[in-house]
Amino acid sequence: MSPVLERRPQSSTVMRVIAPVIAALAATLITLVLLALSGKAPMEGFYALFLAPLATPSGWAQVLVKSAPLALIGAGLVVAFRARVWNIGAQGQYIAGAVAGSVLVIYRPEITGGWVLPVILLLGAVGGMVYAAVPAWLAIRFNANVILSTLMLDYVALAGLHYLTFGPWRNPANFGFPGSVSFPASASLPLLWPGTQVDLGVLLAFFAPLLVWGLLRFSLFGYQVRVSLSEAASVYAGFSRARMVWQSLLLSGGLAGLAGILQVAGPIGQLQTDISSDLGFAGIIVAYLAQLNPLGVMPAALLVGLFYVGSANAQITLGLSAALGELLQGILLLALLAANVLVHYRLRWRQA
Amino acid sequence: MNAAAWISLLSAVVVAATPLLLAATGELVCERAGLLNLGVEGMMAVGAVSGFITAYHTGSAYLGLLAGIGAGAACGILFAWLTVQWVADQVATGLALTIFGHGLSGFLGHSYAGDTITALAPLAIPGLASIPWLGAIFFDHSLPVYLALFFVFAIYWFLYRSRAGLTLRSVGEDPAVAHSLGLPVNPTRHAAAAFGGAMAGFAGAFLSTAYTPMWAEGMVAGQGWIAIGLVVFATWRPLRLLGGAWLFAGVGVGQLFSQAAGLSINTYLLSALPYLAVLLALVLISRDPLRIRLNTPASLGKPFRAET
Repeated sequence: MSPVLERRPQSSTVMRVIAPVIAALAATLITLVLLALSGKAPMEGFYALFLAPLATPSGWAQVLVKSAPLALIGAGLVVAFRARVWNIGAQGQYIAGAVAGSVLVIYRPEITGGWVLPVILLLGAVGGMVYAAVPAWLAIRFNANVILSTLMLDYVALAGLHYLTFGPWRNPANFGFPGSVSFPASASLPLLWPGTQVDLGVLLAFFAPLLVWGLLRFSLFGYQVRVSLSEAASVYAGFSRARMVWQSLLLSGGLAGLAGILQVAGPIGQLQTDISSDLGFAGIIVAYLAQLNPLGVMPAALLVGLFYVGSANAQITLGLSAALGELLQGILLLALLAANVLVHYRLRWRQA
Repeated sequence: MNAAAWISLLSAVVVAATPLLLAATGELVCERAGLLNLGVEGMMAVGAVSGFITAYHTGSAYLGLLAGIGAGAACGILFAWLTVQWVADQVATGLALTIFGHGLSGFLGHSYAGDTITALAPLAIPGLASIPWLGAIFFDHSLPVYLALFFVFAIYWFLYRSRAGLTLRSVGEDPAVAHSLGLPVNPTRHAAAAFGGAMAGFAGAFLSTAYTPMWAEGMVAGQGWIAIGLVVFATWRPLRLLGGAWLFAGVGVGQLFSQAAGLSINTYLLSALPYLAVLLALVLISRDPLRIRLNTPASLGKPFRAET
């Protein structure tokens, strides 16, 4: 008996939902094996990674805070990836948003007023959009590959951030440590859950997937995105590819930029060198884990957020590498891609 | 600058181009078979960490290189298994491989941070190494530097002069036609992906055992992505990889030399230069859509499954 893949007449909706669950289980299993192989007690590791963060309210709060930027970035990437615009540069757009949103505070630190916060958030979103407009322009005008241009711009953004935080924007009162002045209260997001870092930004972030869902479901733009799954159909319908590239890059860039400024004006509180870790790439994982469905972005972001909090926890309690979180994400996505074969194919056992 | 400084600069460029050339040669073969593997960065990271750990424990940098090649090939086989056998999306799989490889290298290398090994020793080629100028620039390096150059020419010969190369190109252009002609589409793609992975692993192991023989997380630092850009820059032709690799490596090395020379440009801004150079080169090469369309393997990135 050997298994063969047989194409389903229609892709299975049920499998589309079940596949991420299968993948999560498989990824957990692989992680336990990895922990055992590296000489750590697997059950202890499992507890530190997945259960300890959920055992306390403050752990839940940390997971929410970590997931918020992922929900924003992931929601934007769902649109881009469905439009087959491979924006791999959410990292750079996130940094651009954080930097653009910080300008006002850096040059006018004493600023007050109710208008400050909305303006800062707007600047952040615009910063991300402008930075995403560069690859859009290069793609439309010069036919440059979006994957590579967005990716190269990630490294450029990171260099720019280093320049600013070590150079002209460094707060002299920091005793030589990099980082800008702290954001004043008027430019900071109000806390919603006292004693934790859960602020207005978290709430805003979790609205993004819903908005994107509505956009895809009910707007002409959303219809065009859904149709662009088939190049032939888009061309036949007369939809402009150039406009689709522009719109999906601006949308995903804007959301990534907003995620950047929400972090800086929220949990971090200043523009720092290490604001980004690897959120841009984690956002890609979130988008795929959500099966490119905006409503799936929320659970996916929470799960990846849990990985971050869990691996930070395992680093402290078990001395494991913080890279474990990233490793988990990679294993999870690989497992999902393997499980997804069941969406389009069914396994049949055939006599050898 | 005097002659000695120029020689050391150019010789540094040849060395710095080596990981780019190795990884890009592998990726080129993979893409010519129709598989777009965006996991080069991750496969290099896996190659780097397995190469380092092996060299650290065995004391042999050559065994480290072999371990890196093996680990990279394993990643390439995983990629082929997912995208060819299981018809998974190539872009998603490549990105997953990059994130996985990054995570794995950080996880495995965690306890080796800052450890050093004895670097791969240079092997001066007798006779050639004593040619004035050229000897020091090209013929006084460690083994992978020569192998990188060798592979560029070997792959050129393979693709354009051998029957297996013709098969590989046909598979990349039109797998359906290749399949109906009885050519082994899936085995070819598996082999191409394994080779691409092995070369990326080799490139990574070169970084950790010869270029900077000390373990530091994130030492690949985007070179895998630059290698993918290099393949587009070379419009999928092996010999053109050479010029691109020397150009991009030259920008990186020039940046380091200008810092050493005390040039008053900010270090952080200068560090963006190699990436900007790749971006600029991409724009210049892609400006003509026809050139890209004619040279891109026609089935690149598209899933293929024979429905029998």
